[in-house]
Amino acid sequence: MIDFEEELKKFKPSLEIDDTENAILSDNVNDMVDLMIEIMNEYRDR
Amino acid sequence: MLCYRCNGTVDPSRDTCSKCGTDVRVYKKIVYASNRYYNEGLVKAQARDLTGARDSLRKSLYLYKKNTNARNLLGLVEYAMGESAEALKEWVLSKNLSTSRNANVADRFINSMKRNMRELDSEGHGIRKYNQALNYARNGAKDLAMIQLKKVVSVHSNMTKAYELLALLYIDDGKIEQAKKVIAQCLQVDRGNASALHFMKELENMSDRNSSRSVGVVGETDREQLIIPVRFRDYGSYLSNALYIVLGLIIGIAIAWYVMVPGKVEKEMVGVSDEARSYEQVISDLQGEIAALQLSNVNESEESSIEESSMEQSSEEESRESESSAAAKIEETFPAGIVQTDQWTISQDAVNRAVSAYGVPDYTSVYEAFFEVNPGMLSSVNAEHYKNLIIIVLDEGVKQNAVAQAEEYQSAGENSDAGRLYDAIAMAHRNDPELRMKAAACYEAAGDQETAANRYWQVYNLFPESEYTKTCSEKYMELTGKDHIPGVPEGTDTEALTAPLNAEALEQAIVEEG
Repeated sequence: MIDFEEELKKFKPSLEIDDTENAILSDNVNDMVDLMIEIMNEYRDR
Repeated sequence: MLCYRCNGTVDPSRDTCSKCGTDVRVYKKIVYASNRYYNEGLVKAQARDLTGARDSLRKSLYLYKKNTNARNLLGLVEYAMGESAEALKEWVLSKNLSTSRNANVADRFINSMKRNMRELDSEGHGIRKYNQALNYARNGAKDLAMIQLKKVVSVHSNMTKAYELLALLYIDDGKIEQAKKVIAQCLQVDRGNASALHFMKELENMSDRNSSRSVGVVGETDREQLIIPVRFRDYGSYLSNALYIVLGLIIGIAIAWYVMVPGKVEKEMVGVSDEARSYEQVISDLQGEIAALQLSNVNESEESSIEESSMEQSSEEESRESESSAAAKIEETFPAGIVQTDQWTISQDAVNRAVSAYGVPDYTSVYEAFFEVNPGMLSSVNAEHYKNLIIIVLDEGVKQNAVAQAEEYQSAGENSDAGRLYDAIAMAHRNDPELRMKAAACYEAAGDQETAANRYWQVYNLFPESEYTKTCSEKYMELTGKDHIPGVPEGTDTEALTAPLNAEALEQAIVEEG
């Protein structure tokens, strides 16, 4: 059975065109390569 | 592939960078894994499994965010799903993160969007409407949410989120066939849409459960399962046959009754409805006269109450006379009860017009129709709609959208329509003098000096502490040729006239009638 309230919680608002600039500026997610560089730097510092 | 440290070219067959000597073994593995996910995403996108493609491309970027191809393709997939803002974000990031010296196809996409600003605005509008509909659904205003979403999917036929939410609302409302239709449309755009597939499966299970019949008892013999048919009772007796015949006769007579009788009734009703139609024509003509007289009285009484008080009195007397003669005409022909029913009809009609206008959106009609409603004369269904309309007309976001529409009218040179819309918004947002100032400017631009002067007079007298007082006074005197701007009649409660409308007070005025 479909629970309306539970399914509705899964819906998130869409990004609006006016908010694109803020979204771009706040998009600072590290990828695996960044993680790898961080680990290597830590290892080197030791 | 470029080295992550010095950006020098890395030979794929070597484990170190030829320029700086950095060990790139792990780095190469990460990039290769990212490319594998990119390839997977590409295959899914080509097969129109947009949700699957988006997931694979996001994984590719989690591994290596500078994978330009993956980011560009992700933008394209988002665009195909109706998420223009997300697409634009990905292409801008692609342009900025790209390490390749070759031309980036994201430039072409961004330029294409810049060239079609009208289309971009339209898509932005669609996204805003979707977000508004989601808000309505969360607040329990499901009817309004459905109206919004129907509008969104009719204009933006690739917005999968809108289809998903609309299907969910239909399912919650019990409209299974419509839900299936919407889900099918969604799957045409995105074959792998998880929500749509989930809903479709649930609907199929529901219909299977409804149509399934027992086939009997399952028995077991020597490790084999047998399905034994249910044994039906034997109706071979004469009594049972007679019973079936009688039942058949009753059903036949009932069918004949339901087929033949409505035809006869309809013939009689046609004559009655023709007569009713002619009476309704007379009523609507007279109502038009009354409404026109009332409207002219409201516009004139505010300004001329001091200086032309005697003229106003005589004009009011004349209009009262003509109103009473119009009402008398109605009362001559019909009993008083039918006049009261008209008020009822006007209120129901106004609610329906406001709701329909909001779906367009035609904000002028929304606000004007809202204030035509008599909250003391509403059916239970329209009372619920009216409560939702209260939220809408008092909502700041809707106000901003309406102001944006008025500005569009102004840009298109339709100053009268713009002025009328600002007036309509000001009816709901009475404490905002800027709306009336804008209305005044629009009327002035349209050449309607009288109405423009009236609006300047309103702002001057109702908002004496505002920054517009001096401008209003000068403009009023310029447009009317007078040497001063009159005040309000003594005893006028200006605070009450400019107090913001209260949602609770409006709801309390609702009295449901049946």
